Amino acid sequence: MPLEALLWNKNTWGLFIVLVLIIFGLISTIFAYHWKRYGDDLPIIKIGSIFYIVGAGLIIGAIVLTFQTLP
Amino acid sequence: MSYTSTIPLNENEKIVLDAQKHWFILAIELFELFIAAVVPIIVLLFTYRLVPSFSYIVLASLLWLLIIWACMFKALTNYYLDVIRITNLRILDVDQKGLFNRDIATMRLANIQDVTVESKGFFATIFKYGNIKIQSAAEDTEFVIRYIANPEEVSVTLLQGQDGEWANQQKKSLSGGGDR
Repeated sequence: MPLEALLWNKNTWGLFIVLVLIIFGLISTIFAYHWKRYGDDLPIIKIGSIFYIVGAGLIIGAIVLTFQTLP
Repeated sequence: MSYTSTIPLNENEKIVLDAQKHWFILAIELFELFIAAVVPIIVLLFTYRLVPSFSYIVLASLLWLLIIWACMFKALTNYYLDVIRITNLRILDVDQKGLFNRDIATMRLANIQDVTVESKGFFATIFKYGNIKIQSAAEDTEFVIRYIANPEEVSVTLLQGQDGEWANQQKKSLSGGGDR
């Protein structure tokens, strides 16, 4: 398969999204550990963690919706 | 507060001051991330003719935003877990360099020989932040606290704490307590 066809292929992007989401999930787990272990008494981290989850949820939702519109 | 709370204090040890890096350092980092988020998206928007569908550009932009979102919270985590604690006996400097990389340095106030405050540049002067260099008497090493807010105030607190400890030591030696 030529490179251009591979690049503009829905399956390629699907795999790429899965890879990014796995890495993002790992990073989020590390964040959660740090926030829980060391930042439990910091209000900014408590509020920040809610912002992080909401923001990440919105972006991931938009990624899934956009993926479905790919030709 | 953060890593310092995991380090147990001695029986007669009391917290004098908790300090953090100046907020301007975090603001610069967040601004850099904002630029890193926006510039590639603008470039992608200008190259949309090369792409078979506009959805690819939107998807690439969203994936990039997700990475920047994680980087932003990494910067926030580093900032809030990076603290300096001064007690009546010692100074603790937790330097959070990454999620798996941190330095925890401790120095007894009794070992402090010289404290230097360094405030370089326009923004450092305007926003009142700088570096504190602490010279140890015991070793030939320098203890550097970078980009701390109100460095003069922190250095005064350090010297006051040190003076207090010297006074306590003098009291002990006068009352036959001897050296610690």
